[in-house]
Amino acid sequence: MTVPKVSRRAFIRLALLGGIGAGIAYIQHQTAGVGLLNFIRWSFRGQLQWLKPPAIVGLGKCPSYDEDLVSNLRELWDLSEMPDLRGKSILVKPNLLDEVDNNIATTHPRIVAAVLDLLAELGVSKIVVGEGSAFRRDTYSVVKSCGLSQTLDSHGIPFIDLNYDELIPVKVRDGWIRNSDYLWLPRHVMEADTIVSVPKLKAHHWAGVTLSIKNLLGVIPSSRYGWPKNIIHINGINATILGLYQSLPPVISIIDGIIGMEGNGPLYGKPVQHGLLAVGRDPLAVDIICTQLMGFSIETIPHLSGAALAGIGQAKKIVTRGISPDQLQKHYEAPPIL
Amino acid sequence: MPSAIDYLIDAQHESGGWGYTSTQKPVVEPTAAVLLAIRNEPLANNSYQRGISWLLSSQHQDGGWGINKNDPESGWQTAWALIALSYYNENQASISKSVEWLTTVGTLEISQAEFQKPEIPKRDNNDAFIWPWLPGQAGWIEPTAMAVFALEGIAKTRLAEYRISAALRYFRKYRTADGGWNIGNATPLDTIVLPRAYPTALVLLALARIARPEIQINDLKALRQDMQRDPSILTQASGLLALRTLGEDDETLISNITEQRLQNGSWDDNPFFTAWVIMASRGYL
Repeated sequence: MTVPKVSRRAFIRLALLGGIGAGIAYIQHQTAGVGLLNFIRWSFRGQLQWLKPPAIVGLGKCPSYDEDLVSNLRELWDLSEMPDLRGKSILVKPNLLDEVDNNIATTHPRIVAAVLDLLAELGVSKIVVGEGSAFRRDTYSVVKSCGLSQTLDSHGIPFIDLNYDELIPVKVRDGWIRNSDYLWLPRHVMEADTIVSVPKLKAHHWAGVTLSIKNLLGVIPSSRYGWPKNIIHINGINATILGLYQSLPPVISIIDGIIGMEGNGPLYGKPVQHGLLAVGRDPLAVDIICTQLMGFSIETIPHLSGAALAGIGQAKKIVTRGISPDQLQKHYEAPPIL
Repeated sequence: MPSAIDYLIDAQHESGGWGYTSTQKPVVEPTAAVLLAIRNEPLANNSYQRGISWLLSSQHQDGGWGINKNDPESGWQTAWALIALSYYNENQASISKSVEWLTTVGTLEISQAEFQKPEIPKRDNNDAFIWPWLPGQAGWIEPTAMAVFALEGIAKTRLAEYRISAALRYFRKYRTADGGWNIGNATPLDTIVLPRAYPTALVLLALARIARPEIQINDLKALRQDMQRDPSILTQASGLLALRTLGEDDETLISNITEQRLQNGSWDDNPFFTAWVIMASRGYL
């Protein structure tokens, strides 16, 4: 039996067709959740970031919570060309998801205190601190147990349990939330001119890391969606994070990485003496830099790689200022997912 | 100092319901809880009637409730509304509709349409029959405990009985190693989680209705341990109510809670928390 001879030209055509077919199959697989058109549109938007100015991320070294945190943050703020907040209404969003032993899972109250002092210096008109615990019915119990209540009392700043705030239906962009064009979000969140996301730097057993964008999940009102922010279980955590992020007022980032968390975060991981503070006006850029400083690849963190692809923030051009990233590099134990 | 009942009367919104704070617009959960707290108070009779009217006017066509009338989707709040209404016997049509909604609310695996067929759907997964926060989702401890509490004794269908028995199996399965319950799975993503007081209290209240012998000493121990960790009023009041329902009184706890009362008669200026304290002081939901 003779094997039919394939000409060189036919072989190239076949290879080309095979390559196109494999490419389409790959894109179809990668975009199954969002659709090909969205994928193309987002990719285009992502590439447009090359034409925009670079994002600046200020990095500082701060070995302990006993340091002069306000001075540290002020220096990073100035280095990072942050927005003018004079006269603005601000929601400060720390991470207070639950109380566990030694409070290693929550943003340190001294960092929150320093942020409040800095915002007062910057001349903001109004500050509230808000969070909706993922695991507790009363977020204020976490505020008390981590020591933040004294800080708030001494600064005269109100705390809003975002799980129970009045709710407003907010249109969601880009179709991230399946079966709904709206997210119900807290009034204090939507009425803020700017949200200052102040997360604790942590590995996360589902999202990979929890930094300034993932920290925003705390604003989802559990009185509507159930505990723990139960929309993430039906819509997917990454799509929900990105859909939420795009629905909010402008967000800026101040990261508490003085003591981070590695391994089985966000609650039961191990503390890491990192000594890192990070500040920036583009949360995606800040989160990308911090993820790299934890020793993780962005490609393994779907909400960050998805945001980078879709151009939800600047991921193409990032400039760091302050302490060199080399001096802040760590290698966190990966969460079980990575 | 005004009494807690005075506070609740003052905190009532002009439309008849209550919010989670005294200045907030009404939502279903605190309104239902306050109605349960004031239902036997002669001085609050007018407030009670207005609150019932608000609750009835907020019911959706499908028989359920969302956060309030503006929320188009019925959800877990339906159990709270049903518990409150079931003490108010003048609107059986509304109660029947809400019983039907709660009995047939779909889950991740079984749609509402499938639940409305005469036969109970055949599924191997017991968790497919428990109650979600919102239709079409997986079940969780709190909405399941509240649905059991709401339906036990008033829902007579085979489906309701089957789902309540599924809830019992679910409570057994998701009890944490130390006793008590967290908000759902006791080992999510292979992580061992601690029992928490509020979900534990709700399950104990539900079990006290349907299967009291199922309650273990460790459950009460877990409840007390988290009550020591978490001083919040909701934890203390819900825990106290569960303990008192099971015949365990605690004078120290009562006096600790009393000490936290504010000048306006409330706890945390929160009608929902204040209602829980009243129910805990009285000893029944």
